[in-house]
Amino acid sequence: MRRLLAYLAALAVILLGWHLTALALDSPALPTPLATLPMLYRFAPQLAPDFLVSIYRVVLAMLLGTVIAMPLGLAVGRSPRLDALLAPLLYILYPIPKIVLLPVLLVLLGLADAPKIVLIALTIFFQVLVTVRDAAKAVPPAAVLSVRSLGASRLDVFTNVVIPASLPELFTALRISSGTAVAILFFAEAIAGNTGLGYFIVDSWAMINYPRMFAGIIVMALLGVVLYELFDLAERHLTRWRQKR
Amino acid sequence: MPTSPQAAPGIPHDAPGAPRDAPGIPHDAPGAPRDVPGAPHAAPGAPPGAPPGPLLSYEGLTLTYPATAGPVTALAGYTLAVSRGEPLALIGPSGCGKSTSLLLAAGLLAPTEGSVCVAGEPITRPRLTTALILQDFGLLPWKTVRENAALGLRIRHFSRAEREQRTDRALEQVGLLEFARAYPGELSGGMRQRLALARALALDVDLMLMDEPLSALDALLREGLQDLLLGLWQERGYAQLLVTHSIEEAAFLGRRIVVLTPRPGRVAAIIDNPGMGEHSYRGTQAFYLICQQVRAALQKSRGDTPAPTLQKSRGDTPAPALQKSRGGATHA
Repeated sequence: MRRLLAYLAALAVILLGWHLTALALDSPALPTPLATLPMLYRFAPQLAPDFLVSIYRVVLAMLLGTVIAMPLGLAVGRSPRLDALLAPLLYILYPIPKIVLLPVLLVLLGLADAPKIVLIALTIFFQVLVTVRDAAKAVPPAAVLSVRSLGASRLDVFTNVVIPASLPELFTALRISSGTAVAILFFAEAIAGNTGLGYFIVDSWAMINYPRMFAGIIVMALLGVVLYELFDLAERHLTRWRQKR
Repeated sequence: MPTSPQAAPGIPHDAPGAPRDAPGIPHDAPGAPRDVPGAPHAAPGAPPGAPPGPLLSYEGLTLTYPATAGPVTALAGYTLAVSRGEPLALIGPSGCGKSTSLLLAAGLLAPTEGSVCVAGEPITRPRLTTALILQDFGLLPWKTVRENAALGLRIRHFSRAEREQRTDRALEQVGLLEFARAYPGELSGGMRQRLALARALALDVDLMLMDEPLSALDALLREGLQDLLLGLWQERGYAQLLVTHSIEEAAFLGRRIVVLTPRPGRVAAIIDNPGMGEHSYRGTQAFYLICQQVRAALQKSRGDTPAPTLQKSRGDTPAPALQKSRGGATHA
């Protein structure tokens, strides 16, 4: 309830700021919210499936990237030998913006969901890999020793110590990289195919229908909110101990 | 300690032979069941059917580990035996290998030379009824108090019913049962320490290894927990190897107090402390005498003369006098 109120307040501030800016600029490229909202209503039947397609792509991609990167990051973080082996590889590949691979992926995987999902998953993969590796490295030795003194196997140490210790960092990484993920999503959808919010926005732009474009932008913002709320929900469930402090 | 004569309780024996020399040659009757005289209500002694001999023994042990500045020898010629049910305190300068000796006994480190035996068997991996409690308690913040206390039982695949029964009993014994659903982050330092104890108690341990468990707590809390440790030891009758920095703590909780040399650590002296075992011991004359002996033994183990005085250094050049006082065991 409180959260909802906070959202409403934030919305009011944004709409007001937007409105004033639009009035001040007085340009067709920046319509007022009042001109945009009817478009949102009008194109809802078209926006709804685009929203669903986009959120499907980004959520699946982030899950995929995380599921592959997490075990690898944990292993590399806990094995100095593996780390020494893989760190150079990681440091060369990590800074490359994965979006440069879009043309390659389009050629290999076609224009549908696959190239977009793979591209976002790649980005998330590196973010999560680096973060989880560092978190796994930083696990306090006393926690590991004391659990091992209880007879814990390597697997026990991972499930009881290393994984839970890395979860908060994992969620921070996911939150930070969700912005990048949405940006990549937009770019990929704008360039290839004719589905998703990215396509809707660029299509509106091509039609020089700015209010329609802003309707698409609003829905994209909604997508961001849904992503964040999903992460919050998962984090609250998986790191319950951190809420009580 | 086989080589240290039993006599004259309270007199620091000098470094019992045992260093380096021929770890293969057993010193006279290494297992001499050195039955602790007047072991308290304890009845902690050997349970029926238990093999004779010490519960824990280090024989001519050397531990070297690699470090950036070359190999470091933490322990050299370390020989020590702990009987069943015996409470022993281990004290020595920083970095003398006290903590290392606990990791060895817990089966988490392997000696470079010599051997560590628990219950007559060389120890190569953690053992079910040995507990290790570390300085910062080693609690898992993501598990509730009950889950933390039950962790050892869970790892060992005890049944749910047995787990709950043992865990509840242990939590009750340390006074944490009503906090069973809290997380360690919600507990005070003293409560966390008690939780670490509960985890060990739930395992029904016969060997309790503790690495400066109370050093993070303030003075009053420390005394309260020392009382708790004493009470638990009396009730459960496990052998206890307590590593501490505090002379008073060693005198309160050690039936024998083992003083180690600076690194590489070995036994410099063993002080018998037969008066230990009463909660009121802290205020007694005997307690102070033991503390003084421990202090003297610590100073001696570092090659210092006890408490250098002005008169002694009067004839000296200033430099050695300075050295003396700097090396003095002021923080021992």
